[in-house]
Amino acid sequence: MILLTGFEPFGGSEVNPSILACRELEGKTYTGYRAVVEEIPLRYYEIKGLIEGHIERHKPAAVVCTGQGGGGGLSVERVAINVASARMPYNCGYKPLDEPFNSDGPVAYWTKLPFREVLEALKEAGVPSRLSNSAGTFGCNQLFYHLMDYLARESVDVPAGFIHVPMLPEQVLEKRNAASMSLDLIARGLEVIVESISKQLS
Amino acid sequence: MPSKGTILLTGYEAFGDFKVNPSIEACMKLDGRTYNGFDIAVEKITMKFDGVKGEIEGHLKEYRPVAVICTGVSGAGSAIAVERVAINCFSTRGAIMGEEAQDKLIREDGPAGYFTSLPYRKILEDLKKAEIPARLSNSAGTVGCNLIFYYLMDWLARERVDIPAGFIHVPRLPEQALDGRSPSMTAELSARALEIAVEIISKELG
Repeated sequence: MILLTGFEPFGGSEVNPSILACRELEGKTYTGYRAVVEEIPLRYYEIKGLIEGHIERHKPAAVVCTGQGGGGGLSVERVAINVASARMPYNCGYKPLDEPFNSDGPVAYWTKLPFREVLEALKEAGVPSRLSNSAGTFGCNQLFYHLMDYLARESVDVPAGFIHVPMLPEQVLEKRNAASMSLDLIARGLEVIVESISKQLS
Repeated sequence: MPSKGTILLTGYEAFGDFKVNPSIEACMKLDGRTYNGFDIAVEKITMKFDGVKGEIEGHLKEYRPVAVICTGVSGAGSAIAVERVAINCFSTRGAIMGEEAQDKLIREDGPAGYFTSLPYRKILEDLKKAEIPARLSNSAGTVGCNLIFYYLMDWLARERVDIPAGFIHVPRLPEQALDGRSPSMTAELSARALEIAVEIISKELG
């Protein structure tokens, strides 16, 4: 199976496109791999345990974590960095400043997704996308770092990484000229990513 | 007063659309000055993929600086950007600095990233007090600026030299933004920002 995760809503929004888009793929099978979806709360001290628990329980053949970003397209993240620094509090109220996740951990981990193939497939499918060199320093980068750190420590060699998805049209009504993307297209993008990974696995 | 040591500043030479490079222009305004007993040395770096490593390492060996700030221009940047992290990646769209590469490791067996060792919170705080637009950036890109930043931090790590060092992006000059669409900053203001960074470092070094 392929594990997909999305985040719960935050920042005053009632929805988070990442978990909504993942749910569209839930239970479906792609080239023999079933998509399993887990929602991650935006709670600083819970994220590490939850992602590690999901990987131990599901033993996935690949992991695609997703979160809401501010861009106009899907952003395939290249690198996770060992620092949390928030401009707004997490949903638990905590607001870290320049805090490492793992004081013995490396500064950075590369994604283990086949990102060039994924980007090519997204382009062919007509889904706006790009390679991003920073997943920020908030919950998304945190989940991404814990994911890669766990896989490295446990020597689990599976395709894994993080995708930022845009906000939904309904989320940007009050934001002047902010980018958005419809849920159908975001979900289609995730499908293309999962298809691309599952073909490589089989 | 005898010199307490050298603070090395580097900027890039002109390239492409940048007939002058605001990074070296800003650095040059500090050249030869002294801050709290520390001398400023400025070096211009060639925009050549094969040359950057040798040039920065050569300057580090020559000056044995007590602090290093490398600078470069960000064509799209609106504010002074203090970079948090250098990554082991050189990746271009088309040829840049005489090299076209995709996802190339800067050092084959080097770590994925290095954090800056500049006192960036203090620098950002003082830039704000001085009313200079500035921000912390989490990506220095994957071309020339990240390249020298990575070589800088990698050399210091390998040589076990523990000094304040990092990279600062400056915006383009007003004369390079005449289309009215790109953000810009005068060389004087960018230079003042570098001066503030140098003042903080020189005070912390004592």
